[in-house]
Amino acid sequence: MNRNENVLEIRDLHLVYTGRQRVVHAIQDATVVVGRGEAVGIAGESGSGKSSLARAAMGLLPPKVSAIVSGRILVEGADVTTYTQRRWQSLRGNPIAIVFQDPLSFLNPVVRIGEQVAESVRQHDPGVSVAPRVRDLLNMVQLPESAAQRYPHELSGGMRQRVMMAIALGCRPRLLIADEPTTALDVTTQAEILKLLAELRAELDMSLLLISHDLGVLRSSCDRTYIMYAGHTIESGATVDVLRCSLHPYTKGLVDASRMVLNAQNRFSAIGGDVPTLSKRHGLCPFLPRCACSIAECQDRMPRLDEQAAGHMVRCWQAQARHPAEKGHGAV
Amino acid sequence: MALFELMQISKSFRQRGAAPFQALADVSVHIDAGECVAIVGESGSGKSTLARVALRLLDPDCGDVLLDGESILGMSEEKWNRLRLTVQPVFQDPSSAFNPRRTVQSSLEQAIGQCVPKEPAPRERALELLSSVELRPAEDFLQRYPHQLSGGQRQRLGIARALATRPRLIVADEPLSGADVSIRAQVLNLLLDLRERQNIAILMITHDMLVARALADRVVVMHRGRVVEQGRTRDIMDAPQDPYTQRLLNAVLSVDADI
Repeated sequence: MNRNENVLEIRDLHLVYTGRQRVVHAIQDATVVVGRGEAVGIAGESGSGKSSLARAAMGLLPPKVSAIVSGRILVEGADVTTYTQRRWQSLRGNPIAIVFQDPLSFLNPVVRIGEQVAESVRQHDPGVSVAPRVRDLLNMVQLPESAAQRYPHELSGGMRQRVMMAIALGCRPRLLIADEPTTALDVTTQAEILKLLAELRAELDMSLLLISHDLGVLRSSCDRTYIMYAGHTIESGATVDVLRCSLHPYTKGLVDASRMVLNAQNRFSAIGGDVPTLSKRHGLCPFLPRCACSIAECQDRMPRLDEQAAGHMVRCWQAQARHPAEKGHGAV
Repeated sequence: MALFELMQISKSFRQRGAAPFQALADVSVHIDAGECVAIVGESGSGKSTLARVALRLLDPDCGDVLLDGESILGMSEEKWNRLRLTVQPVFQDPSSAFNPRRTVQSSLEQAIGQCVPKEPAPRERALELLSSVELRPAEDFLQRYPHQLSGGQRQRLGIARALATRPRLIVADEPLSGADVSIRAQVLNLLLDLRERQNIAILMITHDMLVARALADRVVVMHRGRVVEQGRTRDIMDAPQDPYTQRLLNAVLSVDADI
């Protein structure tokens, strides 16, 4: 395996769910790359496609009702887009593991914690002596050894999330996907879990793909961030650039709304309008109906993701028109 | 005299095979007319129990709840049924707070009927309520069912229903948690409007310090069933005295902190 290879690459993905009566284009055009050792964030509101993206990266899309129409998914360089469930099984846990928002629906309610961690160790670390490894893992996520004897319902939300992490780490993943891991937790617990994630990442040389609707969480934990809207990745770059020098009007709106500071009219900055339907694939920028700074091109065709500054990509005609010089199209 | 007063409220819950769990210990909070008070704290701090006591959905072990100086705990069911219209709840999960088989119009007219049983023009009043929470054009919403609304629209409908009885106090239990940031701003702006135009007082239960800072005149910090600190919002945010309040504030992740 090449050290410089990306752990995960999702390129131009178009993913549809087909129900009995309707079709949902949950991911329409998304590109996400996670390099080795990198911490990458995906932000977006409900329905933007960020969780579908996480599931696609784990081969956990519901069979029969979901289909990848176009685009590619690469795990450590190998194209896994058309993998069968059986072949996906060989990738889950190692190299990619996932922790979800709600540990209670993941953990078995009638099996003690220690046994659930041991299961993951036996599966992914055959030959290793199980009991000491389980102790190590609990230790790693800073749970007391006595937690092994407990059942999920006896633990607090933060402790359950640590158990999830211990199970995931038992697989020795090179990429950990965390889908809203702290959303259901109190702020103080959230801070502890994020700190733990950062420590583990450094210690184990692991990449992290952190999915959250909370820009503050991504700001504190991620090197790079992708912003999603209506199934499209609309902006990406170093977290500091995306949040401080946002190029897409939606990103700006999101950052302003997250600040919760009163404006001159004594009101909070909100994004007017509602999210668009995903029942069709958008031919124009999906943010257009809510956008206050559209230009002629916006009415004409869909913008492409385009690099505006080093590593800072945006899918917006207006932003691209504003900075043509940096792209080498002559001075403004 | 305060509009609403929770006085030295204590409440414990029995637990099987363990000592009773003290959810509230000697909690006192008052709200003046038109004022917004935020109760902040983490899960298990007792803030939702306090909201239920305030709405007389739960009897405290001791203490009293006063509306305009009169105890609501001692009053007859009949009298409370009249007075409760002035103290209206808004819940966290608007989808479970509405009858899924009633249209928006039917849900609102039911609430309007409680306040004015013979309201001559309930439909017009429903339209007025929908417009006041910026569900426009209001006519388009009347025949919809709750599941046909987005999360933000449903929460605004929840507020419209609370307004149907022309309340003087809204008790909002985590009305914004689980909402996306753009929706959160919409709902906060709506609450600001209500205070300015109708002078409605708000008791806001939240775990989010940013929400408290954004909206409240005063903040009450709860921890393990006790009030650990209360005061003017700016004082609490700028100079928290209690170590727990400091810990809460330090844990807030803002978009702007240095990266």
